[in-house]
Amino acid sequence: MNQLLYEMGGWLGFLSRPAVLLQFLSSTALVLLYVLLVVPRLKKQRYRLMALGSVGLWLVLRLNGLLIERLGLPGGLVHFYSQVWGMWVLLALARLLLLTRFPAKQIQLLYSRLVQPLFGLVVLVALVNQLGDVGDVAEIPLFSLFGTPLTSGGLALLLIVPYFLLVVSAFPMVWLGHLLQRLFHFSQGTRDAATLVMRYLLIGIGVLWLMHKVGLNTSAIAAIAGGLSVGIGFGIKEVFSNFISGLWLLFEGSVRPGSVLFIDGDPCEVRSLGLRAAVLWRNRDNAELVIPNQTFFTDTTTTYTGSDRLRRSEVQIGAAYRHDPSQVIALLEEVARSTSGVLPEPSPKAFLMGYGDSSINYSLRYWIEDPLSNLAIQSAVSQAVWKAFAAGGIEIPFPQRVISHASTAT
Amino acid sequence: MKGVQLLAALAVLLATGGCGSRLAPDTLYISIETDINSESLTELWEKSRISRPLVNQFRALNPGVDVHVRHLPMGEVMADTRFRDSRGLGPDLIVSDVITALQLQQDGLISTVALKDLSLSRSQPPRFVNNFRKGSQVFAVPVLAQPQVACYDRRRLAEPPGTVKELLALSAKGLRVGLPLRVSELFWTTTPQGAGDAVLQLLNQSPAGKAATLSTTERRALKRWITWVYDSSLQKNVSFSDDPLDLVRQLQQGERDWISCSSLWIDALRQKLGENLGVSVLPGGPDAPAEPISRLLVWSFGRHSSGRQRQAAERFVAFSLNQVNQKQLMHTAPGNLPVNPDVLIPTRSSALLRTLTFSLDHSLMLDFRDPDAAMARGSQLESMLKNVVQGEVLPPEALARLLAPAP
Repeated sequence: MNQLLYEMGGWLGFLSRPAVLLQFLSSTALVLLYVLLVVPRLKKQRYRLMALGSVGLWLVLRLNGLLIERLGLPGGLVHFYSQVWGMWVLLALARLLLLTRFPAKQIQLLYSRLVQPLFGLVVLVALVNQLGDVGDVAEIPLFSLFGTPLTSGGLALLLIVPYFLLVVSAFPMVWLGHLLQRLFHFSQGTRDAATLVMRYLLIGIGVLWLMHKVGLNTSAIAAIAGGLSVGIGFGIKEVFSNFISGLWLLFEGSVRPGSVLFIDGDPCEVRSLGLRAAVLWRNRDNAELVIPNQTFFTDTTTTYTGSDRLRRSEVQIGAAYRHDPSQVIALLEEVARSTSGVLPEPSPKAFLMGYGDSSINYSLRYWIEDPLSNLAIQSAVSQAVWKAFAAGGIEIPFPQRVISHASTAT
Repeated sequence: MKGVQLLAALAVLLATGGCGSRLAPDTLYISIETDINSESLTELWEKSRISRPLVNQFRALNPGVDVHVRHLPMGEVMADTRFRDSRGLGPDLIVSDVITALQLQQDGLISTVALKDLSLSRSQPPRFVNNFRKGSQVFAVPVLAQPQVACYDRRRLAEPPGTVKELLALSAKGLRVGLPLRVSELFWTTTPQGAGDAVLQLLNQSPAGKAATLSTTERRALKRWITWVYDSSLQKNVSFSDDPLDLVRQLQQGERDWISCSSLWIDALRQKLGENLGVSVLPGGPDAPAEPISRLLVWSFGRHSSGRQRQAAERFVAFSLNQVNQKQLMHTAPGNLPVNPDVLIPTRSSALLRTLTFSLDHSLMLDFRDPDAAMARGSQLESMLKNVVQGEVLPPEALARLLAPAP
């Protein structure tokens, strides 16, 4: 560690050189002028002016480098700064372009999780390469890990690679999932499951490669893993149980991203099936439910998307005794058929359910395609029934209660 | 207001920073060129065994100076120095062989120094320094010499060959010989053929479309040498390699019995072969000893050092040249000879040092008018030799191609 600090401290020594100091300070002054004087004025303007301002700074930095070189001094560092700023501006412009074609949320995720961290990493590596040599710095030994000397490069890999494995692996695997779906005609759920399993595989292979690259002592890791298994048995068995349950559910296919499950009386859509828990979206109140995977593994799960996505729904209604039940049933079935969202096949059916105190009770049963829109379609059918009964002169009776006061009676 | 304050602070920093502050330690950046093409970091790290003790001793005497050393494979020094120089981040000192120093000087990537500024605590300047003079200034200061010698396995060869003829006779009897293909390392074989001047002339010519202007005698000598190389390649037990490290490994692993090698590799060979390693002068002609091109390590000074860095660099160079350190380098890094003429080399008590000194005394020093062009011609010659030893090109055709106008 001392050697790494010694090496990094040495880079500050470059600032004692007038040629370096001139480049550093002139570039910093230009950036400060831009940030303190130009940006506040452009903030209230349209984004096009902001973009022009950014390009202007890049031009000024470039000119600064050329001017310094014209004076016979080295200007490579200034050009480096301008290249970094130029890359940043290009990425910002690319983002504006992407926003015109893709959903803002996706672009935001792409930039915050991948593009910006990657840009930061590239700039950091490039900066180290300007001041020293990435290869040399990466070879500096830091400390021993599992009996293997860990270098700064190895430590950097251990910190950086897992992040990018988790984030970056999603993009090619989603693409591969789409490709497989086209080739083998998978359903949506199977495609999502295959994508997730392939992603886990990629991450697993990446971790193994990382351990090999860093040179970690696999025997020591195996010994530690053996010790940890005891810990897993007692301490973190829930985490492990959830992970295994998640994998099992994926292979089994009962719960997949896109499935619609019945949770506490509400239909919910599975948004993602993670290592520990599944995230479900509840339509009723736009809530996200985080449910441990083993819940699905051990409890009964009601799903609307097991073999198909159809749901049978029902509206119950009462009609007065004086109306012919066959007329009422025909009217109810006609109403359901003509309501948007109700499937013509299987055809809607109405049934006489029984004779109540004040009405004959009917049940109108129909099929819908999207389990999550049940409430909206149910409401539409109920309204249509009311209108059809009103138009057909069919009375919807309701219980009436006559209250007699004792004093009035006497 | 806040911005103006920041800018004022920057201006003050600009005005005062360049002068250097005594609060922080001075830093000295040194690039060291190694004698290998590969980028094997293990090998490069191994190289620091020579530089580390010197740096540590210097830091012990100059605690206010932080020394940062980088080891670069041969062939990367130019590109690396050019890259860093364009940013003002070039090294304060560069250790390289002569040809690299000449190239650096030709490209204006190093600055000159007055010998008197080096505060050398001796009456005489280092050996070979006059080769790098430009008036009262020098653009490179020699630090160590690494002569070209023959290394062999004593278990396979009791007495080393004195002449090239003897060498080939031994190989015909089963001695497995390894020869380098680099021109600078194969140059000693030109001596028995009298082709040394012709090869140097070939390397020194302008590459810009001009044919080499060799006399008839020189042409004949050059042909003799190329034919000798070709004939040697036909021998069952003679092999050529363009990687000196390859030959060293072959000798270490018992695949070769005798190789032409730089004294730089003696330490590594001795670690493997122990007392079985024999080192001798390279075989020459019947009347004259071989004239190899020995490797000379020289210091060069960077262009963008601050005043204090330049002073530290000059102190470091003077430190590396003083009698004590030159002697220590000679002993701790076997195969390196001091350039300080005041250092006594114990040639009577050490056969190795006697061999090295003899070889160095009979060595040629490279001095090219146009080092970049010489490097290009050297590569062309090496490529041609490779074709010759592989039987792709016969000696008459190789000669014709070498003497044709350069493209």
